[in-house]
Amino acid sequence: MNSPYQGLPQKSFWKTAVDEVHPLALDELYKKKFDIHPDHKIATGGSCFAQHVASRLRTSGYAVMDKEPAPIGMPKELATHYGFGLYSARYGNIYTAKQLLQLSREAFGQIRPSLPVWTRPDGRLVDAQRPNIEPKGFGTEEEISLHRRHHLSHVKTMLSDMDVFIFTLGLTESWAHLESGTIYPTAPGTIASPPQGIDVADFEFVNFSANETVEQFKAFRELVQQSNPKCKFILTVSPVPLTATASGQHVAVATMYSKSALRAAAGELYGAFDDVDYFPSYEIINSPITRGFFFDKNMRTVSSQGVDFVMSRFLCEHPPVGQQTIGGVAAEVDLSCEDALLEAFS
Amino acid sequence: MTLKICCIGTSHLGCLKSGWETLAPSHPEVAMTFFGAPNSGLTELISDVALSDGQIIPRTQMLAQYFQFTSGGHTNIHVKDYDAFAIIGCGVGLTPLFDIYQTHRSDGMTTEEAIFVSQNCLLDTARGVFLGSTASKYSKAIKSLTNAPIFIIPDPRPSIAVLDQDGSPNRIWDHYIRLIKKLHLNNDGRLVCDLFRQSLSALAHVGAKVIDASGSMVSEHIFTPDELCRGSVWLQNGAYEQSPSIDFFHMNGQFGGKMLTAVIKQLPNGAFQVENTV
Repeated sequence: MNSPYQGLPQKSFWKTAVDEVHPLALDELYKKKFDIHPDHKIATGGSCFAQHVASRLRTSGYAVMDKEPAPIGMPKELATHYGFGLYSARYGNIYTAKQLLQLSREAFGQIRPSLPVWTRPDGRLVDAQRPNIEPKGFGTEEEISLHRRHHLSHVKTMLSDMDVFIFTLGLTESWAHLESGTIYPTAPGTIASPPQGIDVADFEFVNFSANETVEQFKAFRELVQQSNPKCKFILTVSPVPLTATASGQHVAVATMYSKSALRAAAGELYGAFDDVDYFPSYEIINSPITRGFFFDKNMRTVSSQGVDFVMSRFLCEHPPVGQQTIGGVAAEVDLSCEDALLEAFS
Repeated sequence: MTLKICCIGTSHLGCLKSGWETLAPSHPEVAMTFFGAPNSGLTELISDVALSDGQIIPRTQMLAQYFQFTSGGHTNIHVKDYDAFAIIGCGVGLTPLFDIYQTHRSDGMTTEEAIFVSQNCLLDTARGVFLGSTASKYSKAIKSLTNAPIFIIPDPRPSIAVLDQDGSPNRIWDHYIRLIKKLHLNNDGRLVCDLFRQSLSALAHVGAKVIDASGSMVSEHIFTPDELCRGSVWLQNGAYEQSPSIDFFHMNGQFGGKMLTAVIKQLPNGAFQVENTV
């Protein structure tokens, strides 16, 4: 009787796939589930790491959507501060699947998140769902409402037009308004605070499970495909550890929970749907196969060489469009990360 | 004592040169030297310079030739030889605001299809463009060597006669004529002009004072009266020439003379005032 392991390819065995292979020569880490055509409209979103994905795909010639580009001539650094060019619309970082679902429901007019306007220490107002896209803040709630309305129209168009959505799952931890269940990308008091009369006690710390993440993403997928049935999805898990945790656990332990839950969720979604692919950026950076050498000294931020290596694996399966070559050091991407701001509290 | 003024610019140097030819006899105390080169399409020839040993040195042969021609023999700009500097255009003007207007708007503007952003966003964009301009680069270079006052004269506003044009055989002019006509039709001229004037303050950070046209030299916020355009002179093809009749973007010696008069009025005291205009 033959073992079911007999005859399996080399990639199935640690010895032949990892132990006997130079880490930079690891092969077949990713096999695409579907093709991305040069004329496919790709939308991106997610946590900070997703900014690298968007940037690299653009330079590789793919049609990465940008429904809210920067004004002509705006210097690059300034554009980043204003939230331009990071993703396919100016929504800022989307850390959780719940946040993604919430944004999409709002864009389709199904819900209206609570407490949309928060106040910065300097008295300027921010859009609570994207607190970092206006460096000087806004003056009035009406301004924020007007700007958000315009932004959501672009998000809706993006969701309706995109052929492929690449989403980087970043966190399981989030903060929710108790009464409404609205999720926010930053904890109250980090960048800005909710309106007077609303206390931190009106919020709860939430730490989504793998199952919750699965259900949230499934709902998002269903919502998108109601108006865009052809849309496909690529999930990846951000390899970047948590800046901080409110779970009460050591941040390294909380990170492992978060990433494990997200990885499990991504795996389940990959198995459940033909139109959901999974790309292993998390494994490439985090697993022992690359010995951690793609992290910077702080063991948290991913080096540009790491980003480049990750994307080279992606581009092996989805080759650059035109004359672009794989490899070379990724251009420095000036990341915009509210998550990183939590370090100020350490 | 002769006041030595160095004028630096693109093709718009033509109107200053032409203006100076008329003005010079009434200003025997002033010696004006011109250094300039036109853009080649969208490429700024004049931006390709290096700073070395107190001199601004062209890095291309073509620019060196233009400098030699326009200055009457000098290839390099010996910065400390001059008591004041006037830079015309070189990336400062309404054109970046027109570019922004193509795709973006803030509250009050009426281009419905444009992406809606905050006024701060547009203002910061314009400031960023001006701070990254060749005029800014020259300003910083000069400031690093001397405390002589530096004046920036923005690119002239287009002649109001563009409103009567259907377009232009010149691809770039055609683009801007259509865009400006749309802007005017939308009544957004005042807002764009306001943004422009507010954004000019950024140039104080590079030690320059902006001298913008105003009063009778401006028509409907974003235009120049056509009489200041007719008979326009530009620096082009290795010479100062009358610019083509289809050119509504370069001005004549009368315009140039008025702007130079405004510069001279700032001297020899050189004390900066907030937005002193003609």
